[in-house]
Order: sequence, then C-alpha cells, then structure tokens
Amino acid sequence: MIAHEDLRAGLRGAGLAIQVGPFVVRLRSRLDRVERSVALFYDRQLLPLASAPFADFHVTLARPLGLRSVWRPQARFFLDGRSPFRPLPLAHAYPLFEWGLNWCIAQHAHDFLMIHAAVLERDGRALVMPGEPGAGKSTLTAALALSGWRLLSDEFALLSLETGKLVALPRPVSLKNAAIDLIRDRHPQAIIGPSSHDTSKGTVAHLKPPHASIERMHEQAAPAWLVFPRFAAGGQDRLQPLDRAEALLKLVGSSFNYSVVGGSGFEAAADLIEQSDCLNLEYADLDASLGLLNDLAGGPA
Amino acid sequence: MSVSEEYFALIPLPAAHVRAWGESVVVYDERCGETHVLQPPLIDIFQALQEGPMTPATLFEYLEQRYDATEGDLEDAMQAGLNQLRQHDLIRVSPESRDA
Repeated sequence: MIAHEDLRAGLRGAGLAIQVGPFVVRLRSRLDRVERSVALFYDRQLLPLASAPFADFHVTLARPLGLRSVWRPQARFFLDGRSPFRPLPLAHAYPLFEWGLNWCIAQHAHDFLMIHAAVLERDGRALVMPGEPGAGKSTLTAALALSGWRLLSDEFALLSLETGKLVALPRPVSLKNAAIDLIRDRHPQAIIGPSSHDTSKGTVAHLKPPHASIERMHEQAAPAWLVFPRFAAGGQDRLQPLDRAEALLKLVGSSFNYSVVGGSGFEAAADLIEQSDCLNLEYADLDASLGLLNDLAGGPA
Repeated sequence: MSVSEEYFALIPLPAAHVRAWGESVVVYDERCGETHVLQPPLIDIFQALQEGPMTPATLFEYLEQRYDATEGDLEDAMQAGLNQLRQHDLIRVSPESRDA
C-alpha cells in the first residue's frame, strides 16, 4: 500500500506502476477523478514508486487543450503518447481508463487467446462465461465473486497458449444500470465506486475485486466449465448441455485475437473445450442461476 | 497399359488441428485460419480419407459398409460430401497412374 500523497505524486510525475495480472501499466494523470478511482480500486496493486519496473503499457489520461475544454471538459486516453480514441466527457474519465486498458490488452497480448468472457475459480477449477452485452455476465460475475468464487476477470479471459490455463486479470467489475443497485443491495459490504451516467453503456459503476482475487492474481486456473449465459426475463433458469463443436464456434467467436494467434489459438480453445463441461445457461433469476452455478462446483462456497 | 484414375487425398493436417467430438469433427486449417465443423456424412468421408488416399470406388465401398442407403442415394451423398470438402479446400484430387 502506498500513501495517498505518493499516489498523487506518482500519477502527476513519472507515473504509477500498477500490476494488473501479467501486465504492468504505468499510468499518469492529473485528473482528480482518476486519482480517486485508482486509489479506491488499485491500492493493493500499486508497485513501489522506488522500483521502476518494465511497463507493458504507458497510459496517460489528460484533458485535451483548447477552448472547447473550458465549456465542455473532456478526458482523453493516450497510449505511448498517441490517442487512439475520441475524448469522452470528463465525468467518464475513469471508465475511459478501463475501456482504454481493454483496448491495450486486446491489441497486444498475443501470448494468450483472449476471449470476451468472465472467469471465476473454485478449488483450482475455472468457470469461463462468455457473454454478449446484456447477457447478464457482469451481474453473475459480481455476485459469484462476492460469494466465495475467486474473480480472475470480468471482461477478459486470458487463456495461456503455453499452459492452457486461465490467467487472472483482476480489475474492477463493470456494473451497468440496474445491476448496480442490485449488487449494492445484496452485498452492502461491496466496494462500488461512483456511477458514471450517460455513457455509451448507460450508467456504469465499478465493483472492486475482493482481496483474495488480488492477492492470488498470479495463480492460474484450469478450465472446468464453459457456460454461455443468456438473460431471459420471465424465463426459467436452467443449464443445458451444449454440443462441443457449437461451443467451440461460440468460444472463438467471442475471441479478440483468434485470427491472430493461428493454430496455437485453435489448440488452446479445443483443449479448453475438451477439459470443460460446455453448457448454456438460461438466466432469469439471480438466486436461481447462482444456485445452478454453485452446484457445478459442489454447492455454495 | 497405363490406366489413370482419380483419387482423393486429404491435405496434410497436424493431428492437434483435428478434433472428433461425438457427431462432429472440427478441423482447423492453418493456411487460411478457417475452422470447419464437419458432420455426417461428411465426417465419414473425412475419416475414411484420414486412413489414406482413396479412389471413388474404394470410398464408396467404405461408405456402403456404414450406411443403409440405396446405391443412388449413397453416390449422391458421397459426391455432395466430396464437393463440400473441395470447397473447404481440405482434399486434393489427383490422377493416379498404375500399371494394369
């Protein structure tokens, strides 16, 4: 843990080094809201300022210059001094950091098959949940992470091409809209940051990963369950077996870099399929679906 | 006399790029990055050709042992399957020369 003054000095100076799973992010920013969010969410992942580790990503979040910034303040994301995106309203500076970091990882981390999926673990066995937006993935992920499962990732499954295991990327879980109050009500002890309204995803607030997820970030997990959730309001919660070939196509369809990593990506994906129970989850009621997922691992954690 | 007869052969594929799962065979083609899912009767043709190159006649005999179908239906299914494998570029058709 580093003192808040040091955190501020680091952000405004040479940059704070943040350990995010296998990556080191060096972040610079003079934006107060970025400073507050980093202090809240990443306080246990900051590397000592004295050490100057190699950083995978050099990120800056700053206000663009110009008259426009006076009457409509904005935040801009820079990677290695270049800005790959349009600026967003200043109020969305922290979500912009998280989304920008997603982009950095997706563009560069080709030692992994990267899948748009949540990953959680119990007893060394990983549950991988790819999901379309609106499938309820983040809500399920948050609820599982707050009830005994170890969170490896909310958005990015990193499947090591070397070991075939899932690598943790502990970052705040992005809760959207109704899920924010739902999780807050069910888990009053959960650390949820301020809401950012009117983003491209609606209202967004981030949930801090539980300590165990951060402390065990270097532990990989073997795939055991591949579950595709689909939210079906008013439906019946159920898990149904999914044909392996279909599961593979769905899995690689959710990958950011399947076409980049070639045959080794296919082998990793196919091995994951062979090691996992492949299932569709029709999800209507959070408690019922949590029960089904917990039963996979032998009951509640 | 020399007789030339066409035969079909699978393109070489690493074993790790072919997975047989129940009623499906999944094939990854490294040359183009395509992932193909083959289902019956295509998988029977594919699996037959995994044993080695075959002429249409030997392939037909192989399928005949596995399917209870009329000769005409089986021939149609075999041709359709071969066409599909050709479209996926997973087989080569070559002339075979042998002394008769």
